[in-house]
Amino acid sequence: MSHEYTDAHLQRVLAEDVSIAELGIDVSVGHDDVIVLSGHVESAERRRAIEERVGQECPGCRIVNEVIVLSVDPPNRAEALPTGPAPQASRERM
Amino acid sequence: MIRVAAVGDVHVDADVLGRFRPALASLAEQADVLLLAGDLTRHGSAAEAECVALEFGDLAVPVLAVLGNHDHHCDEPDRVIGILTDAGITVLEGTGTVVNCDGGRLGVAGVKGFGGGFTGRCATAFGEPEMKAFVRTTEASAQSLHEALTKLDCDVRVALTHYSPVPDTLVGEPPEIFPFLGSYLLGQAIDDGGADLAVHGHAHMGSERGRTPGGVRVRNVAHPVIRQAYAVFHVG
Repeated sequence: MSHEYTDAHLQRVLAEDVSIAELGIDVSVGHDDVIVLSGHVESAERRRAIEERVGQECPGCRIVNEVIVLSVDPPNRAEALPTGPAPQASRERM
Repeated sequence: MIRVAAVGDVHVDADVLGRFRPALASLAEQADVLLLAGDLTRHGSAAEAECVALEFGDLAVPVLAVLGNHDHHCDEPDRVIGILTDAGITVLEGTGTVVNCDGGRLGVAGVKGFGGGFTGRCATAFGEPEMKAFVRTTEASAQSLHEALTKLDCDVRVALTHYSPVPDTLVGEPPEIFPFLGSYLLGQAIDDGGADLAVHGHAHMGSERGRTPGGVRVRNVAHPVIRQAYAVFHVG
């Protein structure tokens, strides 16, 4: 199977396997059979489960797990938003 | 000024129970209301909804929510809504509510929304029945959002959706999937409905800030985007 098909297959597995159900994980399969996983999840258990599931699908591949468990710290600032139209010039992108 | 806290895409299940509670304990010091922008659960099961009820119920401020696509996966959204409602969480779908805050009356209208894409690159209700159904689902959702917004009698009007009303807050996602992440029809409803702020989730790799063509500020509060328990906006 080409690497592109493996990428697509793994992304569908991570979304459609109800024990995983992660749609926001980026999967990148290199030509050296190294699979890099990245994205954000809500728990360390989910991070491990993603790696294990990909390992089941691709035995023999080396998995680099760069998935991050999200912070749940409270915010330390608030954003002030005046009512009325936002100015066009400040096209508000990060 | 009204203080609005918001987060989306928290995907709560038993393994997440208790994670948000420490930050939520001080919520009333920072906000008058908490908005949950959909994808509250992993699959939309009753058991997961019970976890959401434990995690986000019984807070010191009103909690208003819309469901997301994950909350529909088990095909029992009404059961999820019932469990959340029993926990005191107000779930909006083509409806709105007004919260009396110290800074004025906050009106929030909510829908899950749906996809279709944005101006110049959007799907049209043409061809196969599946394609027409896809687009008409979004049209109906946008229409109900517009109606809910216009019915609100309030000082500050907020639109709460799961899907995005603008492409600005999708920047960072692959452009090929923008049509699955939102629709300009939601943005049009927000502009025509006189919203002061639009809040959404869904786009985990998107951007935090945008605006509609009519100038309404849009904030993507998906947890992977804000990377904290919730964001706080001081509106007005």
